[in-house]
Amino acid sequence: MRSLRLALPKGRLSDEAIAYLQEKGIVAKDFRFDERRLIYQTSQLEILMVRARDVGQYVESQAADLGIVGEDMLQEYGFDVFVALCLPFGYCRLSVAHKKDDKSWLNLPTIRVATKYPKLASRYFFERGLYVQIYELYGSVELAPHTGLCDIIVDLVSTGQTLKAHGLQEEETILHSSARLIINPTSFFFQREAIRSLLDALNSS
Amino acid sequence: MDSNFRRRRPAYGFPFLDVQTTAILEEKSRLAQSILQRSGYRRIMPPALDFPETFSVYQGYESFRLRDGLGEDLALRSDVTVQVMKAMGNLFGKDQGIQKIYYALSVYRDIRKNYPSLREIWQIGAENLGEMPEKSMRELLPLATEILRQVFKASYTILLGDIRVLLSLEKFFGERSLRSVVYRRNAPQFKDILAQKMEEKKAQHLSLFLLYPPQSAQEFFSLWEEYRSSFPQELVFQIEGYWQKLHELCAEFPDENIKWEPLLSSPTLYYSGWFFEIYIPTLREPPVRGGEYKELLRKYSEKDLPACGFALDLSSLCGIR
Repeated sequence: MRSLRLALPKGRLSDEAIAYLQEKGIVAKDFRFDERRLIYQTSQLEILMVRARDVGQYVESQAADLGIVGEDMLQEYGFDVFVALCLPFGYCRLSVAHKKDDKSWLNLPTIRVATKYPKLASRYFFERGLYVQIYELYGSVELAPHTGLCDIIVDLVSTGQTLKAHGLQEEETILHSSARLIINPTSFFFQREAIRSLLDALNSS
Repeated sequence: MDSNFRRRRPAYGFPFLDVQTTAILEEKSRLAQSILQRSGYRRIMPPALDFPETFSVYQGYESFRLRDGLGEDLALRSDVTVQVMKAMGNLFGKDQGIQKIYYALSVYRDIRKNYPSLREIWQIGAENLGEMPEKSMRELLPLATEILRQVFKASYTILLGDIRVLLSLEKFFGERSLRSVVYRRNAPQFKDILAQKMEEKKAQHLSLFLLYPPQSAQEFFSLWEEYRSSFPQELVFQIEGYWQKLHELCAEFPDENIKWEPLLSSPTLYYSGWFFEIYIPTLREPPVRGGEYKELLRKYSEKDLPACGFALDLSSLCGIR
């Protein structure tokens, strides 16, 4: 039987994920990422490097058996996967932010919102009875309020330094997020013992 | 312009079954039907249209809505079992005895998530009405696996559970979201629910243990000893009773691919007792689901009678996406 295939998101989360897997003895201590490689083979896992928003798709469609992904992505895209573990890294929050000391947007009949999370953002404002127009962006969301594209943004915040550096201020938190281990259901039922021993290793203190 | 580009399919249409695909589907359907017929099942053909409320109450799929000339709302059939129970419920009131029926037809589901995904799904299903659930399950499970083995040459894993375990926990925690949490085996969310009644660390271990249980029932029961004091005795006796019966039912089957699941949930809401899903390695959704739906029949019948059945997704087994 082939080794379990794990999809990891490129970027900071993958560094934290590998450090965690090394700490739990699942990946060798000397494992290093090479900038160009997209597939790695370790003793227990085949690791695929994909974009953060693609991890869920890889696991859902069984191109990978497991994946590590932020709770924010799971909630936004609603992938049909099992969610096995809440992992102790990738902490961040999805927040509403606006230009510093400017709350004029609260009086607008229609609030223009730029975000990478249209579903979560629209649900949040809908529940509060606010009428919004959503602009879906794929990057540099902090730029949008300064160019007149939108009145406020909904974006991921880790330390808050990026917002501050761009003259923005956090208003409210929509969601607290951290990394999750997700599993393809079919993979689980056909490789149950291998996946269970991985879960035990990850869940050990 | 490239001719392939000009002739491409419309973006979000139903897949069109060409001559070759139709022939495959027809052949597989014929073989599967002959297995059911040999076991005494007789064919029915429910209508493709029904009232929207027939489908909307019991199942999680979106139906396609239509409106007739007088403004009456209608829906394209998205599930057959509810239709069958509705029709057969009246007959049962007149002492028709045990009914063994099957259908071979298509259902229409809007399975959109982020993009529209409209699907016509060819199904074959069997219903066993008025027969005791134990006897029905002993007949239906081997029938479903015989179709998978003989018609599709597929390897498979059967998961057998009892929805009443979930319903008992749902009642204990007063948590209506438990069904979806268990269906997606969302251990972090399940832990939060369990933590309402027990210590956080214990809740974390128990959530993983129940949602991702060991394969062997023996190992499960020996580990369960550690957790059973976390729940009131009455609840423990209740769910252990369901597990015991489930375990006995599993042990009766000579099929080594059957696995009992302590906690199983379904996307459709009408299952009220034993429930099974059959997975095959190449498909991400189980192509067979079935079980007991006494409550559904009770809604339409004058008498309190058992009902069991299964549906098999012929389209995905034939590779039609």
